[in-house]
Amino acid sequence: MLSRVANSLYWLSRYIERADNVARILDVNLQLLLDFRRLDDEHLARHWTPIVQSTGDEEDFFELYEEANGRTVTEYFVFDRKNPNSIVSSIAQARENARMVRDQITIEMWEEINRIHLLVRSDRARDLWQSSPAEFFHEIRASSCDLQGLIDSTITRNEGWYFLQAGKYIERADKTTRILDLRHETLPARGVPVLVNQTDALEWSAVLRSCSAWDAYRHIHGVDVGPRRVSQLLLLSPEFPRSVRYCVSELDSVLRALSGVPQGRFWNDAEKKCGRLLSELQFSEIGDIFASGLHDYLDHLQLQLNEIGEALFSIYIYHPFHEGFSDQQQQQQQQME
Amino acid sequence: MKLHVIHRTRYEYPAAVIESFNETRLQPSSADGQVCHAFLLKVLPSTRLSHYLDFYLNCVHFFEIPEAHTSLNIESSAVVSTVSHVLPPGQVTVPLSRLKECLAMEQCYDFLQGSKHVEIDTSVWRLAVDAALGEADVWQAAVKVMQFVHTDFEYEPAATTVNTPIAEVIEKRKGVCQDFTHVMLGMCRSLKIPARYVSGYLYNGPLDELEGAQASHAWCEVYVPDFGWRALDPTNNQQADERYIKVAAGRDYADIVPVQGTYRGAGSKKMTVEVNVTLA
Repeated sequence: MLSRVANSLYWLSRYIERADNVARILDVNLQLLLDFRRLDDEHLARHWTPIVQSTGDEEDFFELYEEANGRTVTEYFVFDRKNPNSIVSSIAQARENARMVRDQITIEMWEEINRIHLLVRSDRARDLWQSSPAEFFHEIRASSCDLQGLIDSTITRNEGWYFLQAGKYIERADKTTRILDLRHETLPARGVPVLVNQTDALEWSAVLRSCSAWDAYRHIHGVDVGPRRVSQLLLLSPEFPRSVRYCVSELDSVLRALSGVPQGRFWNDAEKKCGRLLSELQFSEIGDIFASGLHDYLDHLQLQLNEIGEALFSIYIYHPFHEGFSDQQQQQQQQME
Repeated sequence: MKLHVIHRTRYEYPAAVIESFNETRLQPSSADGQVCHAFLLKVLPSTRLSHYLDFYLNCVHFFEIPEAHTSLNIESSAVVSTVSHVLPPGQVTVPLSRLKECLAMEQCYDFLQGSKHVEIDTSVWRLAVDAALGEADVWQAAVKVMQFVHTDFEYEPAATTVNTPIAEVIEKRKGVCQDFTHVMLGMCRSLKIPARYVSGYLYNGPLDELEGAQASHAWCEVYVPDFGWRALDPTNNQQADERYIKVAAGRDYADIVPVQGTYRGAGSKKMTVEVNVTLA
């Protein structure tokens, strides 16, 4: 497979997942406003600023907008083409990558990517957005689910498939850490908060809903929502499919499928880093993480995931200039009786 | 006959090379009575091997070694049972006029055309017409061609290289079995007899009685309507019997190269090849 193709498949999948996650975060936080008692400017700023911070776009955002409120933040994350991570930009990038590897993906996938791309660029998207943001986000999420399902049910399980999966799981793990980071300001720098008031509980359940983890959480812990258990589920659960540990574990399998190296060994840098991170997650307790500070730990995770992505890039995709290929010498057939 | 083949190829590079991609056609075929009971391919530096069947149904193993290395070892080991499929020397088969029907057959078409190493021109054609003069039977014509190549060409290992074109071989009248086979292919195809290149090994007695080193061998198969593909060895002027182990078949050497590949790196390289065929 060409490196260029692998790269496009990887980013195609990452951008689909990115658009999906941004839609979830905004959707849940808009809904959350309904539960607030007071909606003054100070409260709103405290509500929206962490969302801008979570994606690491704070600087860019404040160059474009004066303050973080519902209107500016949603505009920035949904329609702003100056924001490379906005939903419109992500979908456009996904489509651009899909277009480059049109022969590697299926017609069903291409049609869906194209459809959602044309939809979010159209006036109809604005109308839909004005009349019901919830419906708009539902449309984005449903399209992402469609695409994941189509990838699952129509793509041949070859190398390309593994790159699609790698992109999905790296992006998902990264976004889960960022969603979990949304409420870090309400936490002490080290240790677990003793008391959780009602507002906090609401906000942590919003974190769960942003990851579609509400039902999974309720099955395990009931309705008693607190930062410790939420973090436990979203970081360390081996079963929940959006937890960081689950994603890293899947990513690890994908990297091994690509290289053929068995579990417990490594051949390249990406496998080494991914295996290390997986072991770290497998052998950590949530108490340890809170003791050293959740926010710092999430930063550390994001850094590790970036490094895995870069290692993947340098092994499979980046080709520095080398001297040309030489032919292996061929042997003459010269047996004589 | 049950035979054991070991084929080692070693490349040594003066400086480390990277991104080595290689294909091998080393696995003996299991067809027409020959059975490959066991096949093991070892590559050092170790890497993952994959395989596929090529257009002519030869089994191709391929691998890549992206990291830096200064030598590459490829060792294949196979246990093969062979059978003898020879026709009686005076066998009468079908007249040359029936060869017309071969052109319409999918399994023959490629083997009637010129190919990379077998260019069909008037000089080859003239040799062929002279060699088969007066012969009306397909099989007898092919045998005449084989006898001609065997007697008219001298076996001399250093005279040619792996890429010597047949025009040069015909001019020098010297070469090794690869060249003999290419000349015979050109001549048969000039006569419209479908002919293909077969790569393999030849067992020629216990190791201590051997003169010179063993290597891989090459011979021809010609297609005789109603009789199928029949093997003729122009180097040894005989039909391939149970001492012959067939590995791969193709239009010419370029289709069946035992080990080929590319890598990034400079400098002259050194290749050593070792073949052992023993009774299993």
